[in-house]
Amino acid sequence: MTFANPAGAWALLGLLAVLAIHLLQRRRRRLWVSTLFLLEPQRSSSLGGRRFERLRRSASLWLQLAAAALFAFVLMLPLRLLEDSRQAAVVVLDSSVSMSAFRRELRDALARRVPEISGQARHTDWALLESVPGRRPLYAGPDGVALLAALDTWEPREPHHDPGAALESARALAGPEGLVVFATDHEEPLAEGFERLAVGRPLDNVGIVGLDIDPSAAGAPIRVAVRNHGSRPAQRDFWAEADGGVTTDRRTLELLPGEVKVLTSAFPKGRESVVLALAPDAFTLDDRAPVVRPRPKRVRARLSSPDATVSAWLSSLDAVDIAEPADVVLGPTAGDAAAKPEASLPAVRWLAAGQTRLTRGAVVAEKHPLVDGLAWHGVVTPTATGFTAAPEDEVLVWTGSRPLVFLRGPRQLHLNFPIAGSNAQRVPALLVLLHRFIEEIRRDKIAEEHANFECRQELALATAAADPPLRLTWDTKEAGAEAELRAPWKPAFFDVYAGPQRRLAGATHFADVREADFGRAMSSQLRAANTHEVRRRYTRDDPFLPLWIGLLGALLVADWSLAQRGAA
Amino acid sequence: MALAAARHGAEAASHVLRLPFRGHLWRGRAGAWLGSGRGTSLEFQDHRVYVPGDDPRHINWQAYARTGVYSMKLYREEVSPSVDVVLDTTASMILTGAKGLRALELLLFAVEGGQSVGASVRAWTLAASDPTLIPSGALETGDFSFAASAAAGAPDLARVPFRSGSLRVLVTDGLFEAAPDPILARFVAGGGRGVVMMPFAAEEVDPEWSGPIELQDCETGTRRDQQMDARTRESYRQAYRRHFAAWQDSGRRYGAVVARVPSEGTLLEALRQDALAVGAVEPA
Repeated sequence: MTFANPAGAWALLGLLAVLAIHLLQRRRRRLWVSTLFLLEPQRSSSLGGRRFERLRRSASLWLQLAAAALFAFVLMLPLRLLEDSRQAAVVVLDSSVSMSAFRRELRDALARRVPEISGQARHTDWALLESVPGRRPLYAGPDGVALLAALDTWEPREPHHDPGAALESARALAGPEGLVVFATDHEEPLAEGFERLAVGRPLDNVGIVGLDIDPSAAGAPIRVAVRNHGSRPAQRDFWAEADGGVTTDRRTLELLPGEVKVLTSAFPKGRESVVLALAPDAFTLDDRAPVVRPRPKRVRARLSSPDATVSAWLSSLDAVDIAEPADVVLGPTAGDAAAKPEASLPAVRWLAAGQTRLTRGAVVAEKHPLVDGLAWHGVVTPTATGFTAAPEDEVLVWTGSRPLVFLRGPRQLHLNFPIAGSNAQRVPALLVLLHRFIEEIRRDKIAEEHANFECRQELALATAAADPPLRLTWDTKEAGAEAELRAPWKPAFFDVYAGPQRRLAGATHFADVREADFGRAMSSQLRAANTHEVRRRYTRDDPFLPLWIGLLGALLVADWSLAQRGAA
Repeated sequence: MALAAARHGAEAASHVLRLPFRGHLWRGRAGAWLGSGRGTSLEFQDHRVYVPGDDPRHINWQAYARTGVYSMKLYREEVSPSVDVVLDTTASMILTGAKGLRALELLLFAVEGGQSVGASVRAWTLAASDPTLIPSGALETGDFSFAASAAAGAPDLARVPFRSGSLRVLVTDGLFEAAPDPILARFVAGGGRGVVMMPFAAEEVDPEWSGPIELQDCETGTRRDQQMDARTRESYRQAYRRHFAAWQDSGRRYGAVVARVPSEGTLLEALRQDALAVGAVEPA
């Protein structure tokens, strides 16, 4: 049995009203009399139990209570479920990491809501989905209890994201008449026909929102930003943990609402990793930040001829050595005739010499990542015969109709002018271009590196064609094969291997400020507008309704009759 | 204000009715009412032979003319009766404002009515066992207030110094558990004539109690939860009637007049209902 008007249950408050009226009526009926001794005492009872005893013996009270209960029952409009009624219900869970703070609330809310939905039809086909499209359903079947059990296997791990696609999938799964419930922790605006079940509440969260390490500075100091996301001043303990439970740098932070404080910490002496920690609060993901000492892949460069300008350029780059075997060759050349590019080795080439006359004409850059946003205006170069651009070359910068900078092949950067005699070395664009080119070489180099990432950050690792698939391990777990290689979803140390060879030693920290801010979190329930229609679809009116109404009338008449007899 | 209203009611009644002074031989100082002894009133009582020392003004000269023997005419003594009034001031007497006002009217009716015929009047308030003499003139000056006492129970008349042969008026509602016999025996002791005026309220006679109620005794504070229905109310009414029937029976045994005076209506109307019939008052 279900009800067309569950709000009629509020009428059950009438039970309390009836009780209150009887109790208050009795209070009002306290009378001062002069003839008490003329009244025969009625059956005595204990002082404490007199009131209850009197109520218990009041037939009028029981009649009125029964009438109030029956009235509420009738007001709720009882319905009988159709034997062949079948509905589809899809629960979409907001997989944002902020939901991890409300797992218990979510389970409680669904434990209440699932039976209500089940009661709307004889059979319910359930599905439990995550708000990220493409994930396998957490549960699909007819059992609401099993659906609740499947919640235990769910890990909200995604950053802030749009649930729209998942809701559309859910709607397609439920059909136009099915029920789609979106369980979240804030007031997500939803299209008509969706039910929102918000189970959040504002939390006074304090967390680490970002960190930065300067590996070139002595001791590689770690700068870590801590923010109070709450609406009240907060006090938190902060410390650094090294292997073996050694804690250092312990201090107490006091933060005003919304305040961000930048702390400077350091790796313990002789340690390559550390965990920066805050005293835990309701949202724990941003309370700990594992950090590794960064070790980028080093790029080895070969200078085809000693050049002070180029040496100065290379010294401005991090982790670049002039060493063999080289990853990149830099040096001047006489032009096309003299240029002998080593196809397997990236190179930066420029003209060895030019004329004293300077080139004229506008300098224009093509749209390319290497030169994006760089200002080439004012570059003046000596006139030279230089390189002749081939059709397959990719020109990056033009001066007039002459290619000034172009790529030949994937890793051959040609500067079509002599550096000596030009002002290019004083133009930042050329230096930035060189930095970008070297960084591309570093990115594509296959070697081990140590780095820090944000949770779920995509990992771009160079691989060789012969490499086995990359394998990510963390917290004694091994991540499943995914289309994209991403850092773990929660703060942790991790490694990436290609076969037995480690390619990356990393650490992740939580840095999604939107998810860490619980100022918008709240609890609410927004039912779909067609709830009434859905209920009517699977039910018919209770055939005994006239009987209940008649019984209600009989109770009222009996009570009235009793009152008349009492007054007589 | 209450005293003025009560006086107004008492005076209105006094024009028509008064305490029952007639039909009884009083003792006391010389006055206007026949005493129990011989005196100088115009009321002939007897003859006897003259003896030296008798007042020659009372020699019956007509008899001497007929018989030649000096004989004396004896006349009835005329006295002023004594009136002792007792007002019960337990809380039940002012259960309602009308009942309290009626009790005060009865007090004034007795006191001022007695004074108007030259009687020697004394009045007391009595709460259970503590009589207090109302100062002479206090009722006229308004220096008297009728407030309920915290005491409870039957009035202890043994503590009231009734005068011998006095007309005694007890204003009480009789609403206490004690039997009336000992009270009335004490009331009329010493040759007094007793009149009991019993004001009552209509809600005491036939209360409109219904359903579950909590009753609290206005004197003792005792509480009792009572489920009131028609049967219980009928039982109460019977007990009430039996209680005052016992007072009437006791009054007959001890020669006291017991009159019930309703609180509703004017005092004159109230006295005409029962008090006049049983002789508690008489036409003025």
